[in-house]
Amino acid sequence: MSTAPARRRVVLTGFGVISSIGTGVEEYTAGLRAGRSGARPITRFDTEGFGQDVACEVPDFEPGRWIRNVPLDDMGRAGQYAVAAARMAVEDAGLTEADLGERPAVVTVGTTDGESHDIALLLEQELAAGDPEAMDPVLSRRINAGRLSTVIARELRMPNVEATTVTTACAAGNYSIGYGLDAIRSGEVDLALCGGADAVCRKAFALFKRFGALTPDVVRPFDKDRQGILTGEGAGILVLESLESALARGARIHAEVLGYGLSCDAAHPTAPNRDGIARGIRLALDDAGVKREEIDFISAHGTGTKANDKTESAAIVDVYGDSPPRTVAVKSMLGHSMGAASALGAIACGIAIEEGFIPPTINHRETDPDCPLDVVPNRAVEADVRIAQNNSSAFAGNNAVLILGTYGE
Amino acid sequence: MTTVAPERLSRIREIIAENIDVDLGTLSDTALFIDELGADSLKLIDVLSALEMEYSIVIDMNELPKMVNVEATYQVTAAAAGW
Repeated sequence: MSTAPARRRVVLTGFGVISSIGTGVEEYTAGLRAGRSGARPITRFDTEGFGQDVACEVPDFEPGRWIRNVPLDDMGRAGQYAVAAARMAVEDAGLTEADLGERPAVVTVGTTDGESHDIALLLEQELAAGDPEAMDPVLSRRINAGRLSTVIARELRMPNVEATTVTTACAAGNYSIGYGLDAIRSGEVDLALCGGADAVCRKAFALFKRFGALTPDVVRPFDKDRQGILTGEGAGILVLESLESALARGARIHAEVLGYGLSCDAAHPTAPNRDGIARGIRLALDDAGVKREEIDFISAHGTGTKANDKTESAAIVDVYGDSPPRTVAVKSMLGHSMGAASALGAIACGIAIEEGFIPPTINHRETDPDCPLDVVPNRAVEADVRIAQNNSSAFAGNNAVLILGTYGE
Repeated sequence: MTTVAPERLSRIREIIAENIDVDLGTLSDTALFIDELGADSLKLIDVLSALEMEYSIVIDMNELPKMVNVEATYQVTAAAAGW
């Protein structure tokens, strides 16, 4: 490929974070460094009959702080998270509404459940009344997942955008970032707001409970006694910008997006697939032009289920051999924030590169021999992180792997 | 081991056949769901869930690996139901 013209470089100039361990880059960084846990009793829905009541809810969300132009009732919780994180990301990037204005851009938000919490409320209303007329039209109007991205364009008053919602579930954040990367690399746009959002809902809780994949304990990724996930929520939105655009306006650059890889297992709907994951990693390394030994750490999909962690570890060893890079699971802190998960993971990688530390895998006691990895147990470590890999996998068999690097020169 | 009640066994057989997509007529009580009948863990969760609803019982998810065939599934169900 040496004859191909040089690709446009793409950098990250803004991060917006709504998470159970901290809102905003500063608090999120402090949470990652300290190994905070976002687990707390569920307040969003009645957990009676489930035999457990813990999730990683965002405890302190104040939508009015971030959302100024769109009426709050026009969005469910996931939409509010997406918009708030987008507002935060453009402010972090130093972009004003005037800067955004008529600018061509891509806005893409990944999600697993969209506004499923509102759908559950509508169903409750219908069942309680025995009449579909009882469903609240305010909720009915906002359940379309497509709105997670269009409402960002409305709030930021950006009419000249391609706004799409990506529904590749628990890998959707990385899919979104990859999509924005392609759009900027190709020269179509100079700016993309990309990430993911999801809100705690009974649907996800019931699903993972029924699968036997909801931990009755805490989330212990890669531990021999791990018992599953906690459901979580939040949003991560990243401002992707062409390097020329960022340099021209003197923007602060968090990190560079070096490349990504996508793979589809084309096999089982829920079982993780070792070959599919390994293929995604290899494709990402190739796209980024990065050698295996250059990866300083991996932010794993690392859900804390028996099946994921064992399979993902095997795939990592397949690619990296017997001494893989340090591999951490931020889901030990955040729970599984579904569509937001890999966007929050990507931001964690960006922060690690910028701040020089690797976040820990908390709640760790004894590493499973089937997961032969240094998981940075319980305490963050200071490290010179130049290149980081962010893994994600989703039900239906989609895998998306992102590679971020320091922007040096 | 509980004494097998023929009507219950027959109903459980029906539930299993329906949920793992096998012909009721050819479903033996000892054929292994996963190794012989091509079922997977998702289908077995469907079976467990259907049994819970049929008999208004709760079957611990940890019992799932024991539900290897019709016979064993009957025993797990009987224990959960207190038959």
